[in-house]
Order: sequence, then C-alpha cells, then structure tokens
Amino acid sequence: MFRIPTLSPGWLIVAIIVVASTSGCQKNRTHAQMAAPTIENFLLHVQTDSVLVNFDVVDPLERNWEALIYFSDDLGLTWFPVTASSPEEGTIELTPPFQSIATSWSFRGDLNTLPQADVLLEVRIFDLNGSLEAHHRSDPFAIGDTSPPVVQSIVVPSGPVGGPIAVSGSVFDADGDHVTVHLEWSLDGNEPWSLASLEGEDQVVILADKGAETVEFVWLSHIDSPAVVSPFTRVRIVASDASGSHQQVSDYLPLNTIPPRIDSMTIGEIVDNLNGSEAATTDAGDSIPFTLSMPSVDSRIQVQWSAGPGGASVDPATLEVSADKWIADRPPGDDISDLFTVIGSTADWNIRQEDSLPLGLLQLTATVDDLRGNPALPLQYQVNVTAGSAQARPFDWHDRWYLDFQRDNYEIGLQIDAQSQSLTPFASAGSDGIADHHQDLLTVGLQSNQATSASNAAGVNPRVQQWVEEAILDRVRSHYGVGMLAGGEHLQPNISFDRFSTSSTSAVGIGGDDSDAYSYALGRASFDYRNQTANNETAPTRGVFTSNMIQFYWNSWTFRNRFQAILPGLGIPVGEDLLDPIVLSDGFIRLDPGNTVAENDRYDGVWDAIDAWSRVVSIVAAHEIGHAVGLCANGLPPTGLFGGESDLDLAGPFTTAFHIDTPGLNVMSSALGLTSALVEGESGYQFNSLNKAYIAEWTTLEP
Amino acid sequence: MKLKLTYLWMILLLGSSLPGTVLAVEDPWPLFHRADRLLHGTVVQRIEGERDRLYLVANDAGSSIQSLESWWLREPEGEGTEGIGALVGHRGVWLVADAVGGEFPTADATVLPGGLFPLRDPSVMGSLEQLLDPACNPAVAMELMTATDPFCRRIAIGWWQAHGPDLQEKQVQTIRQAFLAERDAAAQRSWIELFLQKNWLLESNGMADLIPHSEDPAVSMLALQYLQSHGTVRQKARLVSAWPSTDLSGKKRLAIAYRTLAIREAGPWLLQGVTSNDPVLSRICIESMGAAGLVDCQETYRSLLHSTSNEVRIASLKGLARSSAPGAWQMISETIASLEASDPILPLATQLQKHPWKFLRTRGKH
Repeated sequence: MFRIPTLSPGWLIVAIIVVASTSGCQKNRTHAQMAAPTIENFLLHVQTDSVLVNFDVVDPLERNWEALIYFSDDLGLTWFPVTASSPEEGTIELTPPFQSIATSWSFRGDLNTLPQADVLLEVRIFDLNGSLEAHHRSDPFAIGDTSPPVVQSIVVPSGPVGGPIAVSGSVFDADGDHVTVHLEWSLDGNEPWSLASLEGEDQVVILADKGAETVEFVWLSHIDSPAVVSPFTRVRIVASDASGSHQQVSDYLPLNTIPPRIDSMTIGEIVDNLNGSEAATTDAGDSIPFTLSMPSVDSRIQVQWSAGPGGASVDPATLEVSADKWIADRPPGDDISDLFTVIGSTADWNIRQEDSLPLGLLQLTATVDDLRGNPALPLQYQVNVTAGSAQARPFDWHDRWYLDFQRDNYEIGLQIDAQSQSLTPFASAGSDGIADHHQDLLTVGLQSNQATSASNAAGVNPRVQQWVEEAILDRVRSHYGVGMLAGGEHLQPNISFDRFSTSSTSAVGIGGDDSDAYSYALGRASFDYRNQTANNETAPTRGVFTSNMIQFYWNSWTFRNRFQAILPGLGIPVGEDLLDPIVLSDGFIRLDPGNTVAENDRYDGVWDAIDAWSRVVSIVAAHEIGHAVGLCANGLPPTGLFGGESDLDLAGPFTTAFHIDTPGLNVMSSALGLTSALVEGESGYQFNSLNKAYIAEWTTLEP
Repeated sequence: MKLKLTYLWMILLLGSSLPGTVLAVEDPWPLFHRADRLLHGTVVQRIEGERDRLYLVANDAGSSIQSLESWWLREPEGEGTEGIGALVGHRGVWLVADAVGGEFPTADATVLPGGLFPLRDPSVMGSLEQLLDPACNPAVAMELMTATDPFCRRIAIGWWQAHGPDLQEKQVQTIRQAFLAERDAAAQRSWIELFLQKNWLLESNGMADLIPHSEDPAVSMLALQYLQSHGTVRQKARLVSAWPSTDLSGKKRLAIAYRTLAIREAGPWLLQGVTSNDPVLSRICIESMGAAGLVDCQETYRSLLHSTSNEVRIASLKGLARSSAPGAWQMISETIASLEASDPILPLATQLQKHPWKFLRTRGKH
C-alpha cells in the first residue's frame, strides 16, 4: 500500500520550473488554426504543499475561454485534472482583457506518494463549448527530496553482432517513480555518445516501484552506423527522471554492419544488361530503356544474393520478396518468398498456373538479411507480364530436329597442292554417292578408306563415326539445355534432337561445302521469328559446312595440334593404326590399369580429335538451329533479342543482323574462333542468358 | 573439281538470308595472307548491286596501289552472305585480291570477305605490305609485333607462325617482352599459340596470372596448356598463391589448373572450394581433388563417393575418372561394385570407366 509521507519543512525544497514559452505541442497546431489562443510564460513554483502555476493567455480575437490544470505523476502516461482545494483553484475563467494567471495546485490531495520526480503539469484551454483549443505542458519536476534512478545492469549479446541488437538492463528508482530510459551508442566506446535508433519508440517510460525493473531494447545498429566494422562498440542505458539521470555502459560489442547484397533479380538467369534493369546505351551515349516480357505462367524469377565484402554470411531464411500487385492471393507488399526454392545463394520461383501473374507491368522487390541481421538494400525489378499466347511461344509445339549427317552434295577429299606439294582439302560440287560428313571425317582422319582388315573386322570406322555423331548430338543437346535444370529437367522440353529422321519436324544438314565459292561461312540457316513453322535446313546452301571448316583450319597450329594423331600426312588416320582394333573396339576400357601407354596414347589421340571436331560442329549446328527457332530477332526487347544492335555498348564486334556478341563466348555471335571453340566447361561457348530464357520461354517476344 | 581459296582460321557464321552489317573476322592473319595487295583508304561512294557492292575508296598515302587516287573495290555478295557494310567515310586497311572484271575493269579489285580493318597508325602500311611476302625480312615482323594496332600485331604474329625463322635467345627475349606488354586479349591468344608452336620458354609469372584473370577464356585455356608443357615451379606456385585474391570465376579456372597440373599444394584450397555455396565451383573442386590425388586423405574422398547427394557422387566419380593415381581405378571399381543395380548413377559410373573422355566431355590426357 502506498502511504503519504509526512513532509518536514526541513527537507522540502522549492523548485522553480521555468517552461520556455516556445515549448508545448500546441504551438505548431496554432499555425494551422490561427484563431486558437496561445499560452505563454508558463512557470511553476514547487512549494511545500502546492505548486504555484503562472501563465499568460494571448488571444488577438479577445474571446472568452476556460482554463483547467491537469497533472500526471507517471511522466505523462496518464493525466487527471487537479483537485480544487480552494476557490482559487479549479476552472479558471478567462475574459478579455486577459491578465496574467496565477493559480496553484495543492498536490497532497492528488498524489498518493511523495516524494516523486515524475510529475508534470499541463494547462488546457477550452472554448465555451468545452472544446480543447490549446494546451501547454511542463517538463518533469520533482516534489520532495528525490533521488535519481540507477541503471543496475546492462546485458548485450556475446560474439559478433550487427543489424538489430537486443540490449537489456535493469533500472531501480528509490522513489518508485516512473523513469525515462533510452539507449546510446558509441563506435569506440567513448564520448561522444549518440541516441540509438530503436525498434519502436526511441525511449521508454517504466514504473520502477517494485525494485529493479527490466528494460529491453532492440538497437537498429545498421541504421545508426551502416557498413562499419568496429570491435570496440559499446552501448549504454540511460535512465532519467526529474531528479537526474544515471547510465550503465555495456561490454565491447564486435559490431559489423556491412550489409549483404541482392545481386540480381531477373527472369531466368538473364544478366542485368540484358534484362531491362539497365537501359541499353548506344556508342553515342544515348540511353534506351527497355522492359522484358514474360508470360504469366511457366516462367521463372530468380533472386541471387551474396555477403557484403567483409560482411557476414547471408541467412536465406530472411529472404523477402514482394510485388506491387496481387500475387497468389496475397495483397501488394506481402511477402511471397515462400513461393521460391532456395539453393545456396539463389532462389528460384517457377511460376505455375495456380500462381499466375497479373497481366501488365509488375514490379518485384527483394531483400535479405545476413546472419547478424543486417538487411540488404531492397532491389526492384520490373517486367511486363503478358498472356504468353501460343503465337508468342516458340515452342508451343514440339520441334523435333533431325541432324542429317547423310546429305551428299559434294565430292570431298585431299589433293596434292602443286605449289607446296602438301596435302590440301578440296570440295567439288556434285554428289558422289558418299555422305559429305563421312567424307569430311575421311579428310581429317576420323575415318579411313585404307583401314586394316583387323580394324574393319573390329568395326572401327563405323564405331568412331558413331562416336563423332553422338558427341555432336550430345553437345547440341547440351547447348539447348537438355537436363541442365535442377532435377535434370530440360531447359525446353519441346525441342529435341536426334540422328534419325523418324518423327522429325525440322532438319539441319551437316557436312559439305558452301555453294558460294566466295563464302567463308561455316553454316547458314533461315531466320524464323518466334519459330512459327518447322524448318528444313538441309538444302545445299544451308546447314553446317564442315568442308569449309576443314579448309579454313587446315594449316592452323591449333587444328593440327588437336588432330595430329590422325590427320593424314601428320598422324595415322583412324583404322590404319595397328592399335586401333584394340583401343577403338567395343571392349576397350580406357581406365583399365592393364592398358599399355601406347594404347592409352592412341585412344587419347583419337578422342582429342573427336572432342575438337564435335565441339566446333555442335556450336555451328546449335547456331544455325538457333536462327531457325528465332534467334536472335533484330532490335531490342520486347520484340527483339538485340540482333544487329551493333551500336550498343553491350554488343561486341561480332554483332550483325540476327547475331549478338555479348561478353563471353556466344553461340549466336557472328564469328567463331577454333581456339575459343575448344574452351571447356562453363566458360566455353553457350547461348547468352537472354537467348536461354527465350528458349525456355521464360521471356517471349511480344510487346 | 573446284579449287577454293582456303582462308584458314577465319570462321563466319552466317545465319540468315537477310543482309547483315559487319562481316567479322576472328583472326586477321588467315585473311591477310591471302590478299594480293593492301589499300589504305576511305569510302567516298558506295553502289549497291544485285549480287555485289562497289566501294569507291580514296587512296591514302602509303598504299601499295599508288597509281590512282581512288579505286573501285568490288565486294561479292551471295545468298545470305553478309558484307562489310562499310558506309561513306569508313576508313581503314582493305585486303584486296587482284580479281578483274566487272563494270570498272581499269581500276577494279575485289575486297576479300570481311577484308576491312581499322588502322590507327597508317605509317605502318609499308611494313604491313611487306608481310604479304613469306620471304620478308623477319625484322619487319619483329618490329610490327609492337605496333600500336592489335590488328598489326596479330598479323605479325601470324606471319611468324607461318614463316618465322629460328631465333637467337636475344631475339626471343625481345618477343617475350612484347608478349608481356600485350593487353589485347585476342592478341594474347595469338601470342601464346606462337609460344606453344615454337616451344619458346617464358618463365614470367604473367603467363600464370592469365589463367585466373584473363577476360578471354581461350587465353586462360592456352595459358594453362602452356604451363602444362613448359610451366616452371614458380609459375605453378603463383597459381597456388592466387586463390585467396581471385574471384569466383577465377577460382573455377584455378581449380581446373590445379587438376591439370596436379598441384598437390593446392589441396587446402580445393577443400575450401568443395564447401562453396556455388555448386559449380564445388563440383569442379571435388573433381580436381579426385583427379590427381590432391588430397592425401582417401577417407575424405570415400565419404564424398557415398554422399547422399547424387551430384556430389557423380562429381567424385568424375574426379576419379580423370585421375592418373594408382588407387583411382581401384576406388572407382570398388564404388561401382558397391552400387545397387537400381542406383541411378550406376550407368554413368560404368561408362566413365570405359569412355571417360566422352562422358567427361573433355580431351584426353596430354
């Protein structure tokens, strides 16, 4: 139970609280309400049993008002009108001309406990209808012989911290007052201290009447001190009431607020300079913004992130993605990250029918925190969602490609060059009953017309030709993303490739020369915007011209280096080496430790050539098939795929109509180097990320 | 029988029956050495024909075609053949064949397909022209190896690849310096091929640095090929020390280099790479660990072979398939023997033993 202590005059103090005339929240409001009165010269005098209250009322319109005094003994959390203990107290009639008001508050009737250091007074002015028009509040003041609160403890997390940091402590006040508590921080643990930004209010008021009271804060360190590393950071809890303040400083906090990054948010895996995040820039410096189209279903959004340099690892569970429209029955701004599948530092959302996107411009926003809670700057990405009509989809029908190795338009072989007396490849127009591709393989030594009987008996030639064609087929499939997605799914299930014509819809011829004597083309195909029809690229003027390829490369060091084991005149063609019936037989196991060095060397030499040949041919085949399925439509998205945009910064030197040369080794650039074609792994030739997204139908060509 | 010009190296991929803009040449040398003459000049008029295009080119000083102030150059265009597409005002070196005929027989020549190259320093025209001759003084090529234009440098390197004589050590040193000063990625490609072809030694760490840091993956590949045949201990040590400061793309290249060069000292980096968030780097590092016995602890690798992740198991098997270590065959055989008949990786494991290069999609061991 509370009791009112007896106050002896000896320890009573007289406090004078002077409230500046500019303080009080009504001041600003009077600006908007010009007719309201103002309260000025608000002064308090604390005496033994009462508080004298003086103030002036200013009203240029000279109206009548009523004033009431309110008190709070909990630092302003609750307010009550003072109890009038004499005729001079209570409601004050204000009639022009206004005189200075002098009244008093006999607090003993209103305060249950004394002393207190958490008391405030407020003057409120009402019009004659009882409507509050102005008020003025004092600072906290003390009544009686009070003592400041004491911060008894402060607790901070151990170990590295950043982002929101939980800080707790305990505060004791001998008077049992309400106490204001706030948090301050310092990067070096010393002066100056700064007021901490907290989750919620910047300070709290607690009632410290039951011994030590616990306070808990969450300091938003990444806001107060972003992107810093300081092992000497400290925070302190400061508790205050009208009688003074006290603080407690924490141990050192190893603070790291380096934020993580959302590296990209895009359709599929399209890089930023191709996905509309950045405007295209011409060589002349003109900026051309563009936006990709994506179908409302069966597309894919990917978010990638990484730790900031020197920052903590990212916590994928904190990923947040939102949209500016309703998605999956969720209102704009709601988190939709649960629709994404997280693998490592990447999250993918395969958009299914049940979650189809709303049509029109759609803006997505993503952010993620690191393990310390430092949030990444939100990244936004805008796309144009379209219906994804069958007409816009290049693979709304299954395009089955036949790789035709059987065509015969040339007589192909080797001849002695009269000048150099060296073997030189040739190709003469006119069929000769032998498939051109087979003759091309004879030219480079991957087949032989003079195979040993043992090789013939072992089926060496047909087996090696099969290996070559399978390797080409395998690589073409790989270029088109067969099995490349998580779980072994294909990038585009509606395009397939085979060495046999059964059930095929489209075909590309492989082998022979270009009909144009002045052409240095490796291949040619028709361009079919959005793959509207099946395509037959087997005419003599189209397909892959492997004879041209051989003629171009014949004397180059790289070519001869890769084919040295089998090249006529340099090595021993397939089927002619005595080891071939062994190492190129069906039963040879290359990794068997019982093999001789010579056997392994021969096997490896043949595979060196198969590897090189299949790489180059498959790139050209993939390139020509690419044209026939709509790569690379001229112009910028959403109607083009940058074909012919040679004056853009992003376009390399091998950009011509229907070709785009973006950084790296591109299948759809207009030139190919043999050396580059031999690069293995993910640095080797591949479709650029925009072309892959087109093949996958994650983006479509429609405005 | 048709005799064709054999323009080596140059590869054009022509994709459409519609005309394009610029005809691209990957390496200028194969085209250059087929030229009969060079002309440095500017287009002042262009006439489109049905099957060809005519350029009136104003002849600049220094060209070999000195007799006239201007020449008509014919550019043939067949179906789907993309021409140079030079506009009035375009200037550069024209590679010209002495074809005659057409409507302008007195001053007619045929520009080779894609035979226009920019040239910032026309003063080298005289020297360039000499390189049309296989018997040219090698000093001319040597001088052009340090020309301002990468085009000239690649021509000079190409000439040396085709006709360059054996050199004294001092001359090789000059060429080494020229290579080390090279900043153009395409020219670097030509340089390294020259070093490989001629078996010239280059002990500088610069060659090793190209593996993780070159912007051109072909340069990186050639540099690795060079270190495989000519690399020094210091160059290999350079690769080991490069790991911490290399980005993700470079780490992937380094992991392949550690495997190719069997650098056992890189084992700790590969172990670090296995735990990478990037699945490709992780897979490459697993393969590299197994490939050359880079990790002494076989038990570590056995645990990878029996991982719950098929991707990890496949990468581990591929590593063993690349390995020359005596125990690799045994490990892969034991693994295959331990697989259930229904195990999805069993067919691949079996094929890897038989045709490793086919299923690893790589060239053989060399």
